Amino acid sequence: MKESTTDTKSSSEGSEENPEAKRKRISNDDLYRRSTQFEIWSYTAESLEAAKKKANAAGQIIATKRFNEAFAELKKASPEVFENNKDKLNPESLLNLITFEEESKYLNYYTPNIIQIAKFFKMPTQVKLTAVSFFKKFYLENSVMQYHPKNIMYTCVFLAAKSENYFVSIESFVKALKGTDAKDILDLEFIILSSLKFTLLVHHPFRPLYGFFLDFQAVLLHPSPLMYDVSVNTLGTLYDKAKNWLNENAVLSDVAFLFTPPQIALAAMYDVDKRVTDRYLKRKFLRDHADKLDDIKEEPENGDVKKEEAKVKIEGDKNIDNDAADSTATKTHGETSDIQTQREQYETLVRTIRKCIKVAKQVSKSPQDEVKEIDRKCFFALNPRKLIEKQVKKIAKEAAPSEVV
Amino acid sequence: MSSAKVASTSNSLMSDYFEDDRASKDMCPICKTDKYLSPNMKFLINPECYHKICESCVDRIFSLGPAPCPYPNCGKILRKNKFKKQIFDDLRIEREIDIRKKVGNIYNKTEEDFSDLKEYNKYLESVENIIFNLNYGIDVEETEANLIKYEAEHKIEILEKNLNESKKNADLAKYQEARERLKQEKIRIQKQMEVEDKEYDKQQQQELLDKLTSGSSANTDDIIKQQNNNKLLRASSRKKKLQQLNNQLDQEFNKTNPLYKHAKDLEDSYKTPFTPFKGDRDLNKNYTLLPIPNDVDELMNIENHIADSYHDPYVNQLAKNKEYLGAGWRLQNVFERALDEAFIGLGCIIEKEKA
Repeated sequence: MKESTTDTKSSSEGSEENPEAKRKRISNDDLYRRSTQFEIWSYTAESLEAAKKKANAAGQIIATKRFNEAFAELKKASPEVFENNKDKLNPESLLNLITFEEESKYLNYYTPNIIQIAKFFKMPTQVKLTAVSFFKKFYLENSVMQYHPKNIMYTCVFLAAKSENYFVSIESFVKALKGTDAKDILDLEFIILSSLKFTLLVHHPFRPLYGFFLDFQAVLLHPSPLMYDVSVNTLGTLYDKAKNWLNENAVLSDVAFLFTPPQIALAAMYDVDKRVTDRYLKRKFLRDHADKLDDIKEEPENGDVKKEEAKVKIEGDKNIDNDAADSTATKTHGETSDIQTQREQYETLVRTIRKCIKVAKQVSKSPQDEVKEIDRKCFFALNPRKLIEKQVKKIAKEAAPSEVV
Repeated sequence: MSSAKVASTSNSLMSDYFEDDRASKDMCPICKTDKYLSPNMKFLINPECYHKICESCVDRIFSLGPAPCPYPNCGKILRKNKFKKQIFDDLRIEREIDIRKKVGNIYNKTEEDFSDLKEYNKYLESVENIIFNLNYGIDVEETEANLIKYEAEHKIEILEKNLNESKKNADLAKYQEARERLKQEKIRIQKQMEVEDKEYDKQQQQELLDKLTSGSSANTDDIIKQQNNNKLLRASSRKKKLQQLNNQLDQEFNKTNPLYKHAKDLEDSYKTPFTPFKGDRDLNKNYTLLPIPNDVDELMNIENHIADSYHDPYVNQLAKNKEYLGAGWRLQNVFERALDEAFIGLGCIIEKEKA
């Protein structure tokens, strides 16, 4: 155990005993912390919910204002109609805004469509994911009651294609989409960009997934296979399944806001084959101690402390210099704390991965009829004038037959 | 106060005069003296209204005390001591510089006074806003009032800052002076040495001639060779000596220089290599790379070389593509990039860090 201290030392980041660690080194995680994806677009579950609610509330205020303006205008135009039908023509009964839950459902309905559009244009996966990411980010800042998702969706795809270097000209893009003008898309472009805070680089879990596919090989197969039933081929199928898993679950859910790309990639692996992935993680993050600690699930440090005491005792009995005994004691202690931090790292990672899987699988498909209803509401929220006019017409129709009689 | 009036005379009124100015650029509109006829004539302006008046008119009109501006429709009361030479041809720029100076004297904080760059930039922007407002006559009264209020509130701070700045400037002036002296000294020494060298050369020449005439004529070549050798030796030793003297001077200069330490620090900071994230990258990769075939022979026959390497038939097949190879595409880069990305951010637990 003593010999291995030097090895573990160099690999543990920032442990205090290590003189090399005194000068601060920028770890890979620090790099990620400087990315906009982490700085701006990473949320905790609560803050993500809060951001969505905030967007919805802001949208409601805007829609109400718009409605009131239209209502006042129409009332001015024909005051007697409004006077006579006060019970049917008043803001309280007419105004029907989209609630937070409805907005979520509505957006969930639209996200798969983005992938369909991207598929139609035969765009690479990268573009698809970026487009979805743009769309989701846009509706964290805005509400469907401000911008109808249809054109936003198209613009996101168009923008993502540009930002991921898969250029489609606006003419050919619009040609394929019926009923949309180039102007509709180009006008929205800047609005979306500013909502995105001009952060166009999105880190997706697919390349990390490929990286793990490679590292699984390095860890589990080399120099000699670690598990009897794991080979290049089984890892290949695991990788393919994990890709599908990401496409089905991760892309449409909010995991990109809550977890980092490598974590999502590992979650995919973990959910597809828990046994292999767990073996990999243990081997990787618990390093040499993995085999020893595998069986000790509870209080791993207790055993070590005892061992340590025993060691000190033996050495004391042998009448070795007290100082030397002390130094070995601290050394072994340093090692156990290393193991402990490794253990902690491993456990938080697994916990995070499990959470990620749970979140990824939460996405439910929104039923068609419900979405239709929300779509109608959305249309009227954006065009309150039409809603009121329709009601006025309805009243006129009802009134007309009675007059005839 | 003054610039409130300035701004109220504001653009429309002033621009009339600008155009007028263009027509008779070199003529004083008061006494109609032309620069062409009296080339010594100088124009002065007063930051109250920025009207151009020639020097002799200023003397004549304002010697007896404050008087109204002689321009028609202006009538601002001007004082002689406020008149100054015009630096910029465009009076609008002249005016902006004046405003800038005035505001800058009040808002005189520097970057050191702020905890981070963002704060400092915010401060700079607010200052720019004030200047812009004053210059273009937007909310002048309010801005002016704010300015005065700020000045009153931060009087001591401003004074302190000014004091510090002037001290720094004095240091700088001293430094520059010393530097100049050093330069002069060096030149002097060099010149002196050159003179000495010339004399020495002459002497040598003479000696040579003497030797040639008196000595044996057998090996004149040898004598000349020796002479040349001597010359070279002397030249190099002289050079060394000059270098030494210069170094000595430099050292002395640095000892007495008040800014030396600061300069040294600056130099040190240049010496440490630039790191974009203010620290060195952690070079421990979280993975160990398997051996990857990298030279052409191996790549062309890749099937036999991937037993110990990563297995990905698709990518490994691409590695054989000569066009890719020629363009610098390498298997190693592909694998390394994927592996790097797999471990960038793996340990960031967003839930904890963003909470």
